[in-house]
Amino acid sequence: MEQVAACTDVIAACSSTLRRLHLSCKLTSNDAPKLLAALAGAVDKFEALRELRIFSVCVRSAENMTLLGRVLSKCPQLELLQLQSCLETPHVARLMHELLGSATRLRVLLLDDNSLEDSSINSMVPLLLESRRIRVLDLSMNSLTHSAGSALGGLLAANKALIVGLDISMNELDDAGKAQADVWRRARSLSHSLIGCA
Amino acid sequence: MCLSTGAIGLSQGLRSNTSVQVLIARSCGFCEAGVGLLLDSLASSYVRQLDLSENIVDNAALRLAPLLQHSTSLSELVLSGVRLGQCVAFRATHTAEQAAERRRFVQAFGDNTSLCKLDVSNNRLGNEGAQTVAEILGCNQTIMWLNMSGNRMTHTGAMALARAVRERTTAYSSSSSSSSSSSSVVKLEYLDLRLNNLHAHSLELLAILEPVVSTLLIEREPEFQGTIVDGVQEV
Repeated sequence: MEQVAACTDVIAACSSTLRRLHLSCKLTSNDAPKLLAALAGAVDKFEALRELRIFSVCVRSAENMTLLGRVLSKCPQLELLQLQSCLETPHVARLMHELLGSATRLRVLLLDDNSLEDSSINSMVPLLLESRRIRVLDLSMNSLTHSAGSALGGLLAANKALIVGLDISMNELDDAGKAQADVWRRARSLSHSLIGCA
Repeated sequence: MCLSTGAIGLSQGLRSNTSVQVLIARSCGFCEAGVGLLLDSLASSYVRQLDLSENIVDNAALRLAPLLQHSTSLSELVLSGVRLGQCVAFRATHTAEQAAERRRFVQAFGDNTSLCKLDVSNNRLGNEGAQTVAEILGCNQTIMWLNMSGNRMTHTGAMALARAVRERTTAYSSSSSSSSSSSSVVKLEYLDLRLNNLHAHSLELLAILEPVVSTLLIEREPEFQGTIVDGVQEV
């Protein structure tokens, strides 16, 4: 609750010349609506917003997604959007549809460390192809498999989407090397634990 | 033989793509065949930064050769934890065919003029693999950043590397001094030798590499109590 209050205070204090907003809150689906409502209530201040990064705010319900969509539709200058550890597959397509329709200057879309599944990518790819706007796409640390790999191949083919940078790390695009990938993930996790202990 | 369905789809897209400059595909579960397909599809690409770490590369590394030979944009290649130690190019060769493959692989780095950063850490390269990397440094003039950490290398491999770095710098300096009156030693910017079996030789390596490497990461001898040499970071 304190985190929500602190974040909403920050949002309330923002001026209409705000260019970058980073929110890292670790909010559950219960607390997230308060933050999103605060953002939605301050949309008139986001006219000049170029960069929005939101970390660990659970935007998984349809209601939360609607609130976020409302916010994003009022950020016409947005060039970079990061939603890290925020999303799940349901409703992502709708959000992307609204986002790519309204944020006409959006070039960098970072959707890392969500729980996105193949169906999200399958529904995103036609939107990305149509908008031809996104240059950098980060889909690392999701739950993508070979089907998403094929969909992304379609995105890259024929250069219709003009993607310059693509990060697909730490997904299971192929089963064949899964055991090897798992070893590295365990090693990384152990290493992080040891650093945490130190 | 594995079925690399994800890699097949991606490689089909990459084959005709001319826009991708940065491709980061760490830990995607790709096997040797899948990585091979991806590398084939990137052979005539404009990729500037390629990271295939923590997939199974093995002998598919040989298929880097066309990309290295044709690319004028590839500047950063990250192949950490991809079992390069299993690749014939990084092992002692037993047949003429293997020796030819190894030569072609090394020469591909020699033909390349854009690669600046090479990360081959955590590959169990051993001394044989270190020898290959030393040969790569011997024929390539653009690599300035090299991560060789975690490769089970001992004094023999490290000395081969150190000699290659020193000779390369000397050769570069003499060639630039012949064309310019004000010559300065062009150092390797970064060399990471940590997590190898080099503890007993860190001072010797330090003495050889300090003049030719700007940032050297190496584990110190347990009894070493000296001060940190300017520009050389001891860990």
